[in-house]
Amino acid sequence: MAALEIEHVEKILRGGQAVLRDVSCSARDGELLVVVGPSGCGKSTLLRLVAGLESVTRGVIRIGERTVNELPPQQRDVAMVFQNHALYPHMTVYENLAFGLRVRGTPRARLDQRVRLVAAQLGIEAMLKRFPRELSGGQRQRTALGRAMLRNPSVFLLDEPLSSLDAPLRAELRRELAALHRSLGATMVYVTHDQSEALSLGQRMVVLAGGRVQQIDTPAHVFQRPANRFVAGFVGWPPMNFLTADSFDDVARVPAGQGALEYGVRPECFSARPGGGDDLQLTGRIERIESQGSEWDLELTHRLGRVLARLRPERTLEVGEQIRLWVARGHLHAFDLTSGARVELKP
Amino acid sequence: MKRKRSTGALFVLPALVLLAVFVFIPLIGVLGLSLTDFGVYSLADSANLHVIGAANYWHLLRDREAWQALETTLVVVVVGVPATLFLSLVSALMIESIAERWRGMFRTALFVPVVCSTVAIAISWRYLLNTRFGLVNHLLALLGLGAPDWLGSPHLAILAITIVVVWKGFGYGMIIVSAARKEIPDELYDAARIEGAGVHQRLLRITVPMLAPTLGLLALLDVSGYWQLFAEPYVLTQGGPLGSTTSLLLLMYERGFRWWRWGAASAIAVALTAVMWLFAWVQRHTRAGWRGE
Ligand SMILES: Nc1ncnc2c1ncn2[C@@H]1O[C@H](COP(=O)(O)OP(=O)(O)OP(=O)(O)O)[C@@H](O)[C@H]1O
Ligand SMILES: [Mg+2]
Repeated sequence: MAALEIEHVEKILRGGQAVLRDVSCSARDGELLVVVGPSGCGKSTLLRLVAGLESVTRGVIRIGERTVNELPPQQRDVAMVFQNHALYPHMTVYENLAFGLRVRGTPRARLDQRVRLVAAQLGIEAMLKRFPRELSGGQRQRTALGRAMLRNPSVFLLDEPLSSLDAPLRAELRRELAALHRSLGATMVYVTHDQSEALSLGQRMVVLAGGRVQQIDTPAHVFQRPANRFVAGFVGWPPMNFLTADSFDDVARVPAGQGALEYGVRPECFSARPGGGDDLQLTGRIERIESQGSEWDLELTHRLGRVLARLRPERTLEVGEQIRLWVARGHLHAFDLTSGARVELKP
Repeated sequence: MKRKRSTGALFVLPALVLLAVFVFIPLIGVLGLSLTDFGVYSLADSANLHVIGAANYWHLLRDREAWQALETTLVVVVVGVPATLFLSLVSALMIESIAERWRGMFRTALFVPVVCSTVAIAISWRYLLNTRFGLVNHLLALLGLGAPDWLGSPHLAILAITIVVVWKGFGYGMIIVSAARKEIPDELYDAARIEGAGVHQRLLRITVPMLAPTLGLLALLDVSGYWQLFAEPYVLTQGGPLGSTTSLLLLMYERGFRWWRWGAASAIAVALTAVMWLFAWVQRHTRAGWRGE
């Protein structure tokens, strides 16, 4: 086990396209760090740089005490689970698991013991003689995970390991993975484009977009105090509404800051009843109603645009009806209109 | 439903007619002929045509020329097929490792023999292998080696034929192997690198086994192709010296079209086909394990 440090890493492709720009982040020894970002933001590239499959244009990558920039993949002591598992189709599950130890010339007895131990941990002992094409999606993913675990690497790199599975299985494997992480005590970097996965899994999360780090913090902090407009819109579902001050009924009561601001309100922070005295008020016409079980998603048009509100109304609502919603001032996020950076409002 | 079936039949009809005219009817004809003593005398007077049962086949079993032809053909198959597969594999992998802009040129150069007429190639090689004026011996002389009589001595002649056959054939396999190699996902190699596999391990544990189904198919094609060896010895050596390069097909040709013994020639044709089918059957039923996806 070892810590992973990524300092000011830049990756510029031969064509001059910058995929990663000045990325710094670190995973402490034994930490599960989640990297989340939209498709194409450079998540896979970041893992490939750490694994040594590609070389950094600038910056330093350290694993434990070692700077690994110049080391080939096999000397970095990392293991990787690929986006679509990359199992060897011509080998059985057993051979897939054993591959790493076998190419390193591990004695047969020790290899066999290790394979069976890991297979038992993942519940795939019965599959050892099968070929990957004879496995279900979940079993393939477990095999890929097992292959990574077999050598007991310092750092695990997981590239959207669950993205090919359906939702219930994904949730199940995610819990298993979290448990596995605790029992192995391993350093893991877990990449996903699914913000809900990131919120539920990580001890800390790195939000990446356009090849730049947007925010590094615990899931709770990222959710409550997004560092900029992008993070605010990306993390949380349904996504945050963005409004200008004059969207609200009483512009004068909207807290102002320096320069032009944009305000963010999460759909679930609207309420159909006034709470405290300084709640802000917004009036709109209901365009669409969608049941979410115990809650309702309402789409309203207000004076300047549309908002989505998630409510638990006391009475039946109709499409076309005018409705008044309230937001507590404390639920208001504010961002600089030009830079998108978070602005703290005075309480 | 009924109508659909007849419409379907209509669509396969042209293919069936072609197959019947060029494959099935001749096949049955040859089978029939092989049971007779049909020859040039029977053409003159059909009273000379007799059904002689399996006699042609019994003769074949005791025919030293036929056994020699079988040996010659087998040598070309047994030496030529592995050599072809090896060259196809190696050339495909090597071409991949050279700079992109030269790749097309090399690929074309190695593939040209495949599409050239066999006769033209054989004639060129006759010049190349000429004992006194040939380029091959000229080069050997530069290296200080002797000037062997390639097409004049039995052992060298069969070697020369095998070389020409392999040289003409491996380019095809190279293209097929190249295509199959591109189908192997890069991620498998990435995974193997991280797991600690070096260049050779990746080659032996991933590339070669992943290409195995393709190589198996190529082996089948090559065996059936070389089993029908004809044009190269026909042009280069006319089956000599001392019958050492007479392949089974060439023997059949000589029996049929030189000595006008069509019954006997048909028996050889049937035997050739039967062995080929046997081989295909064995090949189909013995490939175990991974067959590709
Ligand atoms: N070999 C390459 N050639 C050209 N562009 C590349 C290459 N590799 C990556 N890129 C570019 O780099 C960017 C980041 O790619 P990367 O695969 O890291 O994204 P990602 O965040 O993993 O996306 P996804 O969630 O879809 O997997 C993309 O815009 C992609 O087009
Ligand atoms: Mg990716």
